[in-house]
Amino acid sequence: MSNNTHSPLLDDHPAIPESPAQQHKSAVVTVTDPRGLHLRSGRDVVRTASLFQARITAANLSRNSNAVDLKSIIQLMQLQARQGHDLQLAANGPDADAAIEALCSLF
Amino acid sequence: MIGLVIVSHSAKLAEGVQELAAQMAGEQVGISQAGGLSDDGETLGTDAFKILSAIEEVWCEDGVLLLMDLGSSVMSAEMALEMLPEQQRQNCLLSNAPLVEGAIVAALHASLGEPLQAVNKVAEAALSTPKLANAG
Repeated sequence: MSNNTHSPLLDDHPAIPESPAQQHKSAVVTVTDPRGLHLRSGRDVVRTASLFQARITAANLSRNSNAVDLKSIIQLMQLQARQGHDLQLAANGPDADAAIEALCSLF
Repeated sequence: MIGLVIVSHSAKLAEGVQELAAQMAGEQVGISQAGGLSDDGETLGTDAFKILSAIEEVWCEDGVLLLMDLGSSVMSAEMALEMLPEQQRQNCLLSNAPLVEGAIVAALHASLGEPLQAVNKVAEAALSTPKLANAG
């Protein structure tokens, strides 16, 4: 599922080395909250993720979980992320870099 | 921004779900509840008139999503909708979502400014999302 319908004009612009629609960014974050990733912190993650166009997923590496949609609170809670767990965040879309940067500050 | 109505047989449950939902939504989303049968909320059951008042409390043009526990909650909610003027009823929707999960999801997505049908869709998706990642 992709909604990267960027203006084709951007592709003709020499100052932009890569089409913004091509951004892929991932990062691993460690949950520091002693209560883990709970409903309220999850709410803030979903709120932040929803500000971006990019498709953003998270997988709990410490539980070998599948990647879930970070814009869904119900899926985010499925990660059952406890303190010390490592989460792999991945974003695809025109604002993927900014999305990962913003999200990393929440853990 | 849509409004939410929590309907439960239990006044305590309705209040508790409202509290959880409010924490997910922040200040902007109107969330009312109709729990219990009697005015003091001591008797378990549902009351269409109580639900009607709860709808009127949060009604807005963007719409109202009703989240119910089950059984007569659903029937009383239907009756409450029938008592509303046609123009208001059109903007109300009974959700098939589970009460607790649905209210949490709906509150968050309502606060993001999503429209009624979209909020209901994500809330109802909770039905098919197991809480244990490796279950189901």
